[in-house]
Amino acid sequence: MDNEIKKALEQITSEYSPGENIYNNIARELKGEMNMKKKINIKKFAVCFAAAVVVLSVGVAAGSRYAASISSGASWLDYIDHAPTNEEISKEVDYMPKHPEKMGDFTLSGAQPGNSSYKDESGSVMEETKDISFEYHNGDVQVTLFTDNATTVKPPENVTGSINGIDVSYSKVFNKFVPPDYKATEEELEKAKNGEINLAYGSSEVEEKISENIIWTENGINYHILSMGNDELGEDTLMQMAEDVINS
Amino acid sequence: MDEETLIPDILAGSEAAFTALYEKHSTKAYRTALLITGNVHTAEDVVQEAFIQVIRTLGRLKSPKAFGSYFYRIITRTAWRLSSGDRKNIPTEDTDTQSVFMPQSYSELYKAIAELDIKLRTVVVLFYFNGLSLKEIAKITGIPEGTVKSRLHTAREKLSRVLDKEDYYG
Repeated sequence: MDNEIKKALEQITSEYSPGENIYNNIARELKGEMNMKKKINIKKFAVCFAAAVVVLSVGVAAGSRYAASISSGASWLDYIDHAPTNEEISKEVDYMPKHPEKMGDFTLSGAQPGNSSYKDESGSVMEETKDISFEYHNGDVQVTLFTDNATTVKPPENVTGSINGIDVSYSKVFNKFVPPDYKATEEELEKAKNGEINLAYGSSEVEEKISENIIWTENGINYHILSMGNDELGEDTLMQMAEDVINS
Repeated sequence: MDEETLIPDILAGSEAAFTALYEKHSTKAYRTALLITGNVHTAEDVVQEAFIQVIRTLGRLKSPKAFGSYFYRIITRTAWRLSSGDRKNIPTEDTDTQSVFMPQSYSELYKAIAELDIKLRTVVVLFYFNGLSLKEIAKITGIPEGTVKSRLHTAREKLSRVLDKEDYYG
């Protein structure tokens, strides 16, 4: 009898298969999320690589307590598509970063948890962290507030201002996104060494973008506001955004 | 490719890995949903909703080895939920005949399975069609293993009456 039931169930369904529309519907439903989250990952990769270039350009001495490279990853599956609650943030990271609802004219719209690995010059892992970045929008223009509580990130040496006694550093960086197998020219390598260009390996095609950054550390949490691929916002605008975060 | 390869790739954002996972599981999932719901359109909705849920919750799966139980738990729960709006899948005069699953072969046996309470029917489908163990079915349906066993026993008794009557053993 068991075999008969099994055979019957197999046979009566054998001519039925899911239509192609099902896969298309799923893909359409998830497409927006995939694209959005991949975009964030690329940005994050670029930012972390920029940090590595900066560290290398000032020369990290052997045995330095600061990381020589940072590799980061994030899954679009973890993306939070709304202004996250403190409870949602607590589920992802073991620190509570400031994340005001408004940063200048930009409004908090989402968050992306991720992981980072900080390595010394020999490639040995110095620390691994779980971190979270916040996405802000003003119309179609997006800026990102990255946060982490890593202890091996070298503090910026070029302090450009102070907010409530906290040193902040504004910078403008030329980024070149390149495929993993990209062969950089001697000129590019020299510029990268001098911190004039950020070569970000990992994109599917070569893409050049200017980024504006403002970085600071407060209560053991590292903050980094990034504007990339937008019209220039300017140092004053980013300073105001940093002030909104620090005062929140 | 197995789940141990596919799942980390999906978590890293690979659409190709998701497509491979879909191709591997969608047909069996659809047929399972069809047997539970008895409606081709509802079964399609079940598969669609289940895969979207898989993508959104896959990161919580502790081990790729647990994917089968995790996936069929979603399929089963979604089928139960969507079936509740199907007027118990009983064909009526105004029912869209294209949507009702009415196999020609084994029609009496299928009719008997379709007439089982959905909880009994689910156990029958998961046990005989999906080849899952009582323990796995208990985990998927959220009921004790003993209850699974007794539901299966009850279902078999009902189906055996049909099989005896129709002389399926020839």
